[in-house]
Amino acid sequence: MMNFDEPRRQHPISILFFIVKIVKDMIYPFIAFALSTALRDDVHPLLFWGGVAVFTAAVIVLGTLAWFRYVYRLAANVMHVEHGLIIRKRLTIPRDRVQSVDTSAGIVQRLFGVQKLVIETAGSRKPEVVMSAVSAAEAERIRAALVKDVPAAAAPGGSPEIRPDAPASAAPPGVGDVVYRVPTGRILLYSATSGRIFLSLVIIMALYSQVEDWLGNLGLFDSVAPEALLPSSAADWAKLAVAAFVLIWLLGTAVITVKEYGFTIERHGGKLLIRRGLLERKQFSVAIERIQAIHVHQNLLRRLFGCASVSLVTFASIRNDGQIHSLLCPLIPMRDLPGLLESFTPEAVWPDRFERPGREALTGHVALPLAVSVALAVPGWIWIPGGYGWTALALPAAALLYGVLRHRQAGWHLRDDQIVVRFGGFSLQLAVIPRRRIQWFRLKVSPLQARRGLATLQLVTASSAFAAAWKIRHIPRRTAEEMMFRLRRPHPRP
Amino acid sequence: MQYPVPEEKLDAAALRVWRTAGWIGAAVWAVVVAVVLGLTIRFDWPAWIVVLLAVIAVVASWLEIDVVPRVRMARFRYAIRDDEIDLMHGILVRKRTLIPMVKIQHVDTKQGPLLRRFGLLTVTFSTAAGNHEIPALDAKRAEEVQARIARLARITDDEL
Repeated sequence: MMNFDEPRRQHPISILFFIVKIVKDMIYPFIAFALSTALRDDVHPLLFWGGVAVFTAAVIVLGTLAWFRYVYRLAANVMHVEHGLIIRKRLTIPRDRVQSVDTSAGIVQRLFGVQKLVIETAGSRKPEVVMSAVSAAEAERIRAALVKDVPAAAAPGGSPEIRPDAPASAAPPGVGDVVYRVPTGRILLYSATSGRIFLSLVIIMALYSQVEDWLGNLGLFDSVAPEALLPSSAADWAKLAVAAFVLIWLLGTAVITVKEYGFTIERHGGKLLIRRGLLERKQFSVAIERIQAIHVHQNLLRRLFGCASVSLVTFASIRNDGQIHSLLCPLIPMRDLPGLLESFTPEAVWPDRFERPGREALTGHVALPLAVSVALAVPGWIWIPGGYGWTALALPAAALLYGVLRHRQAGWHLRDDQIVVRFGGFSLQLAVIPRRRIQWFRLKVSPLQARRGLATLQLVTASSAFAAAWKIRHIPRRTAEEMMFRLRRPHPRP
Repeated sequence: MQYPVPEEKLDAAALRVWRTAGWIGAAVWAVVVAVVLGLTIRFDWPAWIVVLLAVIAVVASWLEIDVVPRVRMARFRYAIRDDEIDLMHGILVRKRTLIPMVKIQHVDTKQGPLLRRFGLLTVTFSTAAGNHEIPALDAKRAEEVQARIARLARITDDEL
């Protein structure tokens, strides 16, 4: 029996992180001080260095004090935290409100064999508790105390076995445990087909233009000199562009691979534990009961490989660095998807077929993208010079294709306890939504739909990342009403 | 089976509140148009700017004072059943929203200066995925509605 009532502090190395935080908070006054003294000629060096010394000493003392005053205590089903230098804050975190407990280890944490621990709760946009350094054993103790563990028997349809087609498994699983390790080849494919690479491209280009501006403004470089290095002909430019593109793509692939390497999903009874990362090993754990919906996403490239990535829609998934952790599996062949869901999120059942909207929905899906693209294409047609005006027509053509695809892919599958919604244009997305997770329902009839007896059904689930509103568009109003009322019916209590 | 349609309407005074708000909006528009008119005369701006602005102001005011309150009043219906709240609303796009009672986390009333003047309250209730409201109920009714929702939502307290 553990002594629950003993108050504890973090590992002393966390003083370092407290100091960093204090320095961050005080950076502006410090810069002001440094500038105001350093820029004056008549300041005695003793004053300047004295100031720096006082500042350093103060920061170290404050950091240590902050560490000393950060005390936590685990009691039955609840965690108490007290912290704050001037204003004392007391937090009480009941286990029922904990959405996830996250640990990770950066370089400093690794050096000292400790972990960073983040606790997220329902109803707060920021993590409730961030502890920068606790020992691995202590992290495990907190995790065990705070992540709700529902016995596997209570979770319906749980199959406590390794699936035979699971390509690789890591540690030997205990009873009721399932482990799935995503093969490295598939992590590579995920990284290579990730759209985020192109985001990094944009960022790099923006940075480059900034740097160029600065260099130009400083007047340090002769602006003509670099021109000599630049290609002169159009063909050379094209080669340069392709080379840059490939380079960035490789770089992005490498970065994402390092981040997601060794992605492992483990299920221990009612908890999921997700580990990933090569240099920085990250762990994310969430109670299966907290999962609001499953979101399956296939972008254009991944469709070619018949693979999709699977995300969890959970209520608290914004990490303190602003990133959203929600991946259940970076990439999985579509044929393995039903097994994956069965093993790890038994509440979500993959449907074998979909119902689809009829021809009457086509207009609704096509009209808006087509109208917007035509409005954009007309000026293009008029003003693109050199007889290339007709190229603007590619836009409405793409929009038409997009609309038709949206119509073709729209679908749903309704069961007593869940609904699956399929949607998307060039990409294909699916949401598996257990009925009891739907927060509210809405039927919308726009003036255009009213004339044709159509409606849009909207199902909203809780999510801190975005408004998770799943829509089935342009279906006959009667059908939409029937679906809403069927889903709405109070569900039988277990 | 025909699903019941919500029957309850908002308080008739709500129409006056929205109209008053519309008139306040119109007054703001009038000031803006007057300022632009002054600038046009002073700095010789082309006349079409102020004319266009005046037309927009008149149309917007007409919508805000006459059309929108009337349509909103006619469309808004609500029902508070034992297991759900049923709202019919929307001006251009018609909406019907069902919020299961078990999903309601808390229920509040709020009252701006204008509503206070007319003795009305807005009842708001929140779920884990956003807020909803029944605007402009008279104070007594609002209190009843709030108490009823609070009671019904508590009995069937379900986890998130």
